[in-house]
Amino acid sequence: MNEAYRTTYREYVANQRDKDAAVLGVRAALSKAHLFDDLDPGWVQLVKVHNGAVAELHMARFGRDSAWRMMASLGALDEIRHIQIPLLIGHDMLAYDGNFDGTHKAYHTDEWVMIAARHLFDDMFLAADAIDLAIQLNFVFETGFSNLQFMAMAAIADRAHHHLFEKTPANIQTDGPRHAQIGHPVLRTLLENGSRERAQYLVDNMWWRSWRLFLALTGTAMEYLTPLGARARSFKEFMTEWVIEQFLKNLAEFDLDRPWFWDLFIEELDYAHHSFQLELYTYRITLWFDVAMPDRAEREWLNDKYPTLEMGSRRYLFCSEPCRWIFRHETLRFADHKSVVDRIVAGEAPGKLTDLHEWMGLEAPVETGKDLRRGLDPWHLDPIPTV
Amino acid sequence: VHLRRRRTDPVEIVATLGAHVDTSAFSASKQLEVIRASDMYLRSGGFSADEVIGSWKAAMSDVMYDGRFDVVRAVETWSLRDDWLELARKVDWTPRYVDERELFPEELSGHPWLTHDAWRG
Repeated sequence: MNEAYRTTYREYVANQRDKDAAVLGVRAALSKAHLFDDLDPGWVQLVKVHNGAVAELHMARFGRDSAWRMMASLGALDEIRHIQIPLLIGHDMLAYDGNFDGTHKAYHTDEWVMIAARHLFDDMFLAADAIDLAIQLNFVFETGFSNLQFMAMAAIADRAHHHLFEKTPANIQTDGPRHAQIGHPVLRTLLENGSRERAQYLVDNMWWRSWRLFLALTGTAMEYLTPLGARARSFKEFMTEWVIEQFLKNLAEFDLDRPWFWDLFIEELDYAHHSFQLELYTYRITLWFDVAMPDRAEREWLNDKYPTLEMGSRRYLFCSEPCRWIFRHETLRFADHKSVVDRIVAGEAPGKLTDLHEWMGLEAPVETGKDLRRGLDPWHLDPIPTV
Repeated sequence: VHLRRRRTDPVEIVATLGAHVDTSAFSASKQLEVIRASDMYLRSGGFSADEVIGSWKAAMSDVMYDGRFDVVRAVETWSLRDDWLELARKVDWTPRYVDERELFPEELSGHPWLTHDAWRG
């Protein structure tokens, strides 16, 4: 290993003390009662979502070179800080809003978002060997995603006038580039020793899963919880200008291929996080934070950033690319068709489900669909085993 | 003698001492030798206990058998950063009682499993 940023333990401690002092200084300057004064309510929910996520220790022992192990030892200390700082700030915020206990609960709750996030991170950090960890955490996740995301979040927090949250990701992000440099030499060693296929698999695998986490956490936060005035660019623009550009540069450096699913990934930039937002809104009763319905100005912003097919005064949405292709082929043939949702929005059909039954000519519950066997399937009737 | 932090180059150390004693004459006569830590501890790129002990033995026996001095004093002090850092980050274990594969099992260190030479960098 031949890393560019080298540091001694003495320097490490001195640097981190200074960085912590910056966060603690802002924390002390704001009395607890005023932590959230003047903040947009959506922003407060965003902070709740982000206060939730110890890697590196496997590499500190099982990394194959001393420089790798030394960097991983300091990296493990970094990760402990990255947990402690949000826990401390989250604890302060409890006085303002009890839901900030989600920061601590993230590590043990069975809340579904947390189960999914823990599954990814446990798999990436704890169940991985030193090589997989170096490539998937350091090379893909940190270099490709989280280091850039922390910078973006700090900039957004600044525009949202939340200086404590601005300092927190900035404090964490400045550790990232140092221990992220473990990834490059490990990847290079794999490639030099005939393991190109394995390296490509590890990169592709973690790119996709990081994207999944990212669209759910950062995509929805940037475009549905960030106040309009604090948004500089759309999530798609952030992904394109920062994340994709950096990733393609990294791939080119090692002459690796783009992942086989690249086209699908590019296509998803237009809709995946919006679909996830729909899910969050629909199932908001299963979350520890509130979910926003965009107001008129926010909808205009979203329409501007994610243009849909508009003809005349009507906007057309499609379930799939082939459906859009057919529509474009014979537009006049289909242009006037209205789906049930179009009719409800136009006020031609009732929005209330019971009235909608009647409008559709279905008498509930006599005529409406039911479970085929009325829930009397033999397996369904088996007694549920109890302890 | 107070050496400023980070002044780690042997030439600079000898020059700083020169304000107090005639170090150039002492250096020329081998009465004073200042060795860079990496030249002592990382002779072939990485740390090797055998090499370090061998180097100390050679340096001390040279002077002892020279017959010019009654006393030989060897001082080991690490300069504060540059050489020390290199030393700290490049100390690799030389396993004697287990082999490399047992010390770094593939299940935890990962595959492909390569010998340390491939990872030394």
